[in-house]
Amino acid sequence: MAFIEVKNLTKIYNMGEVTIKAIENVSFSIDEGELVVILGPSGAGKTTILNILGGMDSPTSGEIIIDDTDISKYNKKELTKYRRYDIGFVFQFYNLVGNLTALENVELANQICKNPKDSEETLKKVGLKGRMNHFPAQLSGGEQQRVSIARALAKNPKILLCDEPTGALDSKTGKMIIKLLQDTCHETKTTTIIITHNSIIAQIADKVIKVKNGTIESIEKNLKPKPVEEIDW
Amino acid sequence: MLLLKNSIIKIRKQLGRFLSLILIVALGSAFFAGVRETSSDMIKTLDEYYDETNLLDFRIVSTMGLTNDDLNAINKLENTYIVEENYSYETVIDGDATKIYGITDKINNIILTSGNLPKNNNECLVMEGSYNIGDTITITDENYTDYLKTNTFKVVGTIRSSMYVYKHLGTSTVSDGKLDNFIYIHKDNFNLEYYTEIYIIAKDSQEKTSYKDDYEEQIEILREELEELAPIQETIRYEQIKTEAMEEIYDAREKIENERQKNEKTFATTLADLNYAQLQITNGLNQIESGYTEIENQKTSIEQEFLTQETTLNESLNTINKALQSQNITTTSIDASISDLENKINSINLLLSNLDPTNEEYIKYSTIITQLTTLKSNLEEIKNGYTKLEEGKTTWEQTYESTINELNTNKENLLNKQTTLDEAYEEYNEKYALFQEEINKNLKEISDAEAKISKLEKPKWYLFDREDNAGYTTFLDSATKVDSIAAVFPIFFIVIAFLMCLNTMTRMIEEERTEIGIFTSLGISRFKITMSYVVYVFIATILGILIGLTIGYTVVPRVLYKVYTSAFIIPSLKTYANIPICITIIEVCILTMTLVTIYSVNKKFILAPATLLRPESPKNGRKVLLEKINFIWKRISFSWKVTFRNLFRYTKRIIMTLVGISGCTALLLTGFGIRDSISKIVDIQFTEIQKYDSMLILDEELSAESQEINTFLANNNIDNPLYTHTETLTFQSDGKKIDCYLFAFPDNDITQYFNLTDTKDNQLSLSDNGAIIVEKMADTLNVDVGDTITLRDTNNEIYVIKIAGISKNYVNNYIYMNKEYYELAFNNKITYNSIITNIADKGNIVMDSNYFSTIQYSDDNMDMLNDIINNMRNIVYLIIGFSSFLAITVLYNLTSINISERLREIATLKVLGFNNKEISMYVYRETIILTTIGIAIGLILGIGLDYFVLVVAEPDEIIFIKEISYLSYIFTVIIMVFFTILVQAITSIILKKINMIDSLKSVE
Repeated sequence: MAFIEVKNLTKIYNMGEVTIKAIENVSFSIDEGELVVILGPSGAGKTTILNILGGMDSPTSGEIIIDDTDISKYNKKELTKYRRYDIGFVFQFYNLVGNLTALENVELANQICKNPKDSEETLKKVGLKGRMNHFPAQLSGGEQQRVSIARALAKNPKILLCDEPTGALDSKTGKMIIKLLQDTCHETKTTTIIITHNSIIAQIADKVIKVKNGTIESIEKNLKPKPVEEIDW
Repeated sequence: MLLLKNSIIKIRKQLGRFLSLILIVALGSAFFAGVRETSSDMIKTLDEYYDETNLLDFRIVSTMGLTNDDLNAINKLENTYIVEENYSYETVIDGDATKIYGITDKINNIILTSGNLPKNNNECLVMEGSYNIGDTITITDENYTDYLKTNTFKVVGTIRSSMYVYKHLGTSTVSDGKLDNFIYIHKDNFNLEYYTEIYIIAKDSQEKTSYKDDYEEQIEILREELEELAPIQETIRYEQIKTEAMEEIYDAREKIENERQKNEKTFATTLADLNYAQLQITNGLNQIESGYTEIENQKTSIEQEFLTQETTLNESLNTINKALQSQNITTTSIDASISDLENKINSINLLLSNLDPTNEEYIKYSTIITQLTTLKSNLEEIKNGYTKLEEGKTTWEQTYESTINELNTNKENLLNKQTTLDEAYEEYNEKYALFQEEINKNLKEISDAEAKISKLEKPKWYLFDREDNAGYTTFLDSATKVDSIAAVFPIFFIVIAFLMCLNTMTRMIEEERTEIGIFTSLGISRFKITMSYVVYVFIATILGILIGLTIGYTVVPRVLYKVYTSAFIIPSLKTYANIPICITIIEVCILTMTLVTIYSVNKKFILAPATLLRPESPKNGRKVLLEKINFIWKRISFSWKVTFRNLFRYTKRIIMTLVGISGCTALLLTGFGIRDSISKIVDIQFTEIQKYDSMLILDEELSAESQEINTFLANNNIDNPLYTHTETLTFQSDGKKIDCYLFAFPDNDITQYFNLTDTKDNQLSLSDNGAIIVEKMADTLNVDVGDTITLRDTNNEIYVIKIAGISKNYVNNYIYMNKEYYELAFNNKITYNSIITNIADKGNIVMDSNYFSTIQYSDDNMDMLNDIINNMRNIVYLIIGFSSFLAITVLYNLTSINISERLREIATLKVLGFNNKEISMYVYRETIILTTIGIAIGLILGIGLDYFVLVVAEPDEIIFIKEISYLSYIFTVIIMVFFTILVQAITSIILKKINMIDSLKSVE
């Protein structure tokens, strides 16, 4: 059985009289250590999938079995725990705490985990050895995203979820971030899911799940993911 | 239109914020307007009441009553407006000291609350709440006729009077010295020749507001006139009374003289009659006596005559008898002799018949016969003489006896008459003596009266104004003293409210940065954008002010009025919108709010629209000072480190928060502090410092040392009486005359009734070298032990007193000294005019005795002061209430701003897996620290504010305990903590509702 098994996932938002089916009957599976890209245009439902995978939302129906545990029926408290211990989250806009230094931002996440990685080590790994005591405002976008990744990684999560991690970055920096994600995924064997509308990024993934109009368009295994250096956008 | 629409959208979008903005403005302006307005509304209400009822400005009473002449003289004064005379009489009815007034129609008009006005002299009006309509009131005082024509009245109506606005009606000269009731009857029911009082309203005084300085100034003009008039009228009245009295005396004396003369005449006539009668009796008696003498004389002479006749007869008889013997006739009686002679004659005749007449014998015998016949006729003559004599004797004896009898009867009659006459004399004498006595008595009375008149003192006018009316002044005390406490608070409120608004607006504009950017980039003018916020603020402010002023001008004053005039009998409050203050509030609020908005918005315009469209670069994180102290920083847990960082990120917000929290804390503490300061002073004053229960004020001429008082005290088991000399003196401070009360005692030991300690709680005792004065006096005069102070008595005599000690005291100003020092300082022998005792029960025997003019019960004093203090306490509760409300609003506002500023951060933390508790704590830690610091600062501020308010509000004769009890600190902290928790509880709901998805959005 796969590490992540999503079966017949449906999410319906009730907006008063209107009901919107964000996703319908979405099923896919992800193996442990896999680098997966969920690809789709705006409004395709990928963020809904991300929200549900990330434990920020519950599905209307369907199952999400992660490491043999179904999280689809989790209550809020359990979801909090799930987010806390199992998920590392990388935001499009980094979402660093402005008045904490890079190191402190990582520590912030660390202190609530069971087996956190050393914050300084993690920061060193993402290439911010010399910038650890800088505040976010003193860092470039790429650097901030690295802190964000370090913060997610330091939690030692089962799954690393990245929401448009390059969305706010220029292509060069974006590439460096993608490389970082790819490298860490391979090195740490952390299951990494990147959500993006950028099909080029999909090339580096082990598996690409294409979403369209709330349903899965295709699931492709990329037998030969490209190294980041080779892609360009 | 677009502007308005935008503004309305803004309102709808964050209704909570809009409402809180309104609430803060409303709260601030309500409190500001309300508290500011209450006392002036109260005073205006009362002023109107006084004007409606034509409350007097002055009341004149005179020791000898007032006359029409006085009335006219006062009327003629330039500055009098209305003058009216009246009568009053104080007496005890059903145990209540009651003042009876005539119903006036120009001044001091009464207000009929039920029933109708009296139609005749047997009907009366009573104080609302005393008797019921239909009740009958009877005056039992025997001397009522000196004042009234009737003494039984039927109650036909109840009234209230602006003279008596306070439930304590003031002092009385009867009963226990406290006036309990008043009654109004028709003026012509009074039986007095003079008016007991004259009421005056000064010109233009009603146009001024009572209690205000311009009122005082207005009546001052008339006061001067009246004070000038007083000695003139006093003299006139004096002369009048004196003349009247002299005339009366003259008349009386004349009358007595006439009477005497008339009576003397009558007496003289009577005496003359008596004397005449006496004379007659005496004469009669004399006559009788001479009658006696006469008859006796007669008797003697007659008896002498009888004797002579008898002797003559006897001699004749003897001669005859001798002749007879010669004839041999011896007889025992004349008759026998006669018969013998006859026999002899007959026998001889017989012989003769037989004899020739020529016979010798015959001749012889004829001669014998002739002899014998002569003898016989002589004898018969003698016999007749005897018979006549006997007859004469008998007749005489009868005459004599009847004469004597007659005389005796007459004498007896006369003697009887004499007895009657003697009685009459006695009666006369008695009557005359009585008459003399009566005359002398009357004369003495007259001469006494004369002496009295010669000693007659000039009448004295007493001029009373409204200040002498306990109700009038107590009301002002209530209104202004509370006001002075309240005065400081509204400003505090406004400042805090203003800061909160500023905070909210700044935050709002911050949040809508992007929107402003969009509008600018779309080419909408800055003015329009600014205006959309200004309109927003304008709506909020106007609504807030409207609500605030409505509450502030109606509810707040009404509540306050109701609460702190519970002891008054006055019309319900008329609220007046104080237009200048309204306008000021509106102007200030709108102006400041608009300026704040324009400023905040314009700060954004400095940036290019493009920059505005981009999210605001996060404020630079900064290391805090604490981090430099490594060894501490290292020991602080990570969460706290974050907290400290966050705390110092927004200095402005910290300051705001601290100001808000500390302000509220200070207000609360001050509220409690004032309560502490005032609530106990009365109890301490009357149970710990002045421990006696009552003070008996002796009638003027009596001394406590006199035998009768001592006997009275002993007879009534009044233990441990403390004699004292009491006197009201004044001292000057800043041109103000302040009353103080002197106690002078015979001994140094007064510990049973007084506990005098210095400010360090050391026991003080009286000494021969100076007086003990109270703390407040020493403070006011800025003097210390060893200094001297100058006091004036009621006659304005100046005395210099040396201070030997300063004692703790809270209410009123007192000077304590012993007899020796009193006599030294006042150069006057001490008279003990009061007695301090522990008699606490009213209606006791002391009250009924005639020795005391007044009995002052500590309980009554306490009640009176407690009324004032309760008023203060009520306003304190209001302050506490409002402060609490403000505290909640401020805390809520600050916390919600804090959250809204960090919405994204919190959403992110949620995504990172922070549970609710951790997230709450992440925010609350800051609140906890700020609240703690805020409360700490607030407590310190509160001490200062409390002190300031107390100093400002402290009346001349009261010292507040400027100590805040621990309990108040605790209460303040508890309330603040409670509110903090409450607000956190509310905000934790907001925190829970924060959607994690927000973290995914781009920064706005």
